Parts: sequence; C-alpha cells; structure tokens
Amino acid sequence: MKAAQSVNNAAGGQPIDVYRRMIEEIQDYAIIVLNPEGIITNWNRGAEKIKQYTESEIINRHFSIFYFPEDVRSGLPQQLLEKARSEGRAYHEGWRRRKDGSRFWGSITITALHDEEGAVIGFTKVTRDLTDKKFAEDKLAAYTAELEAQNRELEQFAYVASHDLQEPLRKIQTFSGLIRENIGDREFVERYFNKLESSAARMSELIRSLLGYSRLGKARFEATEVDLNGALEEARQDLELVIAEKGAVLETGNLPVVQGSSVQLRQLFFNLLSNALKFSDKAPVIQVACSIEEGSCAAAEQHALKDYYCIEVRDNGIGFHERYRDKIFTLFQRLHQQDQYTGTGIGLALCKKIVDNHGGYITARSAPGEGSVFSVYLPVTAEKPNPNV
Amino acid sequence: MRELPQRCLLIDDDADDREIFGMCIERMGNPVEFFAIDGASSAIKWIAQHPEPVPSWIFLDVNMPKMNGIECLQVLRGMEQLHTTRIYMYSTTTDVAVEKECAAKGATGFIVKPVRISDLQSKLRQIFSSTTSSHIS
Repeated sequence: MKAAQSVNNAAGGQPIDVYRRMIEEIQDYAIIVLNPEGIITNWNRGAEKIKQYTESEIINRHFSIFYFPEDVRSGLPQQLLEKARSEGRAYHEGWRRRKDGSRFWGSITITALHDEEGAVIGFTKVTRDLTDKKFAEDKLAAYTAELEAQNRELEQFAYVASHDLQEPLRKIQTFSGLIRENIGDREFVERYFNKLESSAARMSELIRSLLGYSRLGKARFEATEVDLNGALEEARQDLELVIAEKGAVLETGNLPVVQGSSVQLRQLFFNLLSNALKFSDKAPVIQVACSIEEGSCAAAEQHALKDYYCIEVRDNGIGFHERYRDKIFTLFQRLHQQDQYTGTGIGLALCKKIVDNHGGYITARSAPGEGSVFSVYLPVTAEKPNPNV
Repeated sequence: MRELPQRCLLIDDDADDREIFGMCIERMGNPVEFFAIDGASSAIKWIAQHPEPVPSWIFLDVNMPKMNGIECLQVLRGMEQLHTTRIYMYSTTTDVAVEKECAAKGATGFIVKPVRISDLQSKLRQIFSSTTSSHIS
C-alpha cells in the first residue's frame, strides 16, 4: 500500500504523496474535506477554480457559504451533511454560489469519513460544475415544450383547414352541380352563380387569414422596445375610415413601452379595435387604459409572481355571454351568423397568439348588451432566462 | 282519416345549407313536414313552442356559432318529449372522435353533408323510409 501511494522523486529525496498531489491538482472537480461540523479543512485547485476562493480565504469557514440564502434558510447544507452521516453519502444537484455571488449548477457528493471504530471524523465533498450541461438541458426542455406547443397548434390548424376550408369548397361543388342541372333557367343560374362566387370569395378570405395567423411564429421576431402609444395610434390610423363611418369615439390613456414586436403589437390593437367597432349596435365608445398588476394575478395562476401591465380595451358594444369568454379566442370560432356580423373568426385568435408570443395573456369579460372589456397582460420586463450567463 | 306527415327539423346556421336541404325535400315531393331553424337556441325555443307533433327526425349541424351542435344535442337529448326522435348530426367533415362523442351523447347517426343534391336525396329517402315503417308499426 505504502509503495503505491508514495514514489521517490527523481532526485531520490523525499517521498511524494501521490494521492494528495492528485487531489490537490485536479481541476475539474472541487474536492474538499470538511470536519464533522461542516467546517472546511482542506481545499484543492478544482475548488478554487469552480468556487473562486483561495485556500487561505476558505479554510475554517463553514461549507454553507456555497449555498444561496434561501437554501441555508431551508436547512439544505445541514440536511445533506446529516444524510451523509447516517447513510454514508449524500448526492445533490442544484444552484450554488461562487465567491463573486454568481451561480453555478453543481453536482455534489458528500461522503462520510470514519475512524477505525466507525465514528464519523469528517466528510469529503466532491463538486462538479455542470452549469453548461444544465443550460443545455434547460434549453432542450424549452425547445421541446415549444415544439409540443407548435405541434398542438398544427393539429388545430389541420383541423381548421380541413373543416372550415372544406365548407365553402363543398358549396362551390354543390352550386356548380345545381347550375349544370338548371342551365336553362336563367334566373336560377344567375342566383347560384352569385352564391358560388361568394363561396369562392369566402374561401379565399379564409385562406388569407389562416396564412396571416400561421405567419405569427414566435421565433420570427427580435424583441425591441415598442411604445404602445405609437402602436395604438398606427392601428387607429389603419381603421380611420371605419371609425368615421361608425361615428366611433376612441379615448386613450397613457400606455407603456414594452419589449416585443412592433408589427405584432400594432396588429393586436388593430384587431381589438376592429372587434369593438364591429360588434356594436350604437356609436362605439372605445376606451383604452393601462394599469400595473403586481405579483399575483387571480386571472391565471401560472402567471403569478411577475409584474404585468394590464391594458384594457373597453367598449359599449353588444357584448357576449360569460360562457363564451374562452371560446372567443379559438381559431375560427364565431358567435354570430355570417348574415348578422361578417368575419372569419380569426381576429381574437390572432390577439391571443400575439399576446402569447409576448409572454403575456389575454382575458375578456362581458355580458350581453353591456359592452366588453378585453384585458391584455404584458410582462413589465422582458424575460431573461439566464441572468448569470 | 289521412295521417299527418311526420315532422323533420334541420338546425343549421348556414343559410345556403338550409336552402339546399329544403330544395331537396321539395324535389322529393315533400314527404315530410319540414322546418329549417337557424341556430341551436332558437331551435330549442321552437321545439318548446311547437310540442305537437313531436319531430321524427332532427338534422343537427355540428359547427355553429355560440351553442354548437354537440352541445345542442345534449340539450335535446335531455328533453323528455324527444326520446323517440332520431337525431342525425350533419356536418361538412367528420372525425372519428367527434362521431364517437356524438354517438355517446345520443346521436342516431352522423351524416357528412354531400356535395351533390342527388346524394342528399337518396340519403334522406333511405332515412325517411326505414324510420317511417318502424315508427308506424
């Protein structure tokens, strides 16, 4: 045993402790020794490299210094030590703290050291920095989630394409069959040619709006600072004719600057305003205002703990029943027959997709005859997934 | 005494489809008393206001604004007086899952809206004749 651990150096002088040297010089792993209370008694080069403390700075400190305050508060360092004491070893993966306060994703094994009688005389703690791996994994998970979401969307898209596009196409076929059978009846032919043409026009309108919807991919915009006052104003200008025609009044409060796509946010306002203008039975009064919603949001549990701007678009239109508040955001879902209010049923689905793309959410509340309020929640700060990278 | 024709309802929000269905019944020589209604909630109201005779057949469009055909089916199947009524779902496209759901909720059958009016005629002739005989006996 002795021979394996020590070799004589070339000069034939003092024997060298190979194991000690090896541990000291390993750079990829932080290998440290703790006394039974968790005080650091030994430090290697890897530990200095990963955690940034020099040997003289760290010896005699408690190892909980590598943990973030919330982990210390929850007793994690002590729990790991206790586990190693009772079971021989403890393994953990989690965020740890470097000297400069930055974090790294550590994979940690704490092993108890025993004396001849079996009493614990200390611990070795081996830590590996897996931050890159962690980020790669997180990125992969996020990518997978996005792919899954896209898949679901594609399914919906395929369903819509098969059903809603089939409908006018079927009618075109039916009408042309009828025309053929009644080719001599001028009045009949005239009437059904008109129907045939309006079905074709409808189909082309559906295809155009589907295409517009499918182009709203999340990955396709670089977020920039967008002044929502400007986006709203542009949308208002696009709708100037309809606003004048309907004698509508648009009252706007001061809106914030957010991170996002100016094109999409303008489209968002365009569709919300169009919706308010369309579903009205008197001169529309549309109010747009913004407030800040802090922390928790009753509207959607998963969005808690973040601050959101809440942009409300309120109208005095025909409103809708509470039970349709989710349905209205579904692609091609309409609440009215074509002869009452025309449209493809894509506007609010588009709004939802745009708001989703911006890490926010949209809700609506209304009652028949009492106008509607659409609330768009957009994050106050853009998401920063890796603050320490 | 001559027996009254049996009643047949179509519930469909699409005016063209109502017209085509009506044209078809007319071409068949009006074998049934036909009413076309433009939506689920107005149909439910209509049925309540016109209890007699109970419709023998209801054709129900699946894709309708507000209350859709499947939701309407559930309401209709909850109406005591309609327990002998044959309710056929009537839709542009079909999908195994939707058909199963409708069958589970009490639909008699599922009909894909035919392209040709003659196909719709033969389908209806088949439905009216088979159910008429079983109904009368």
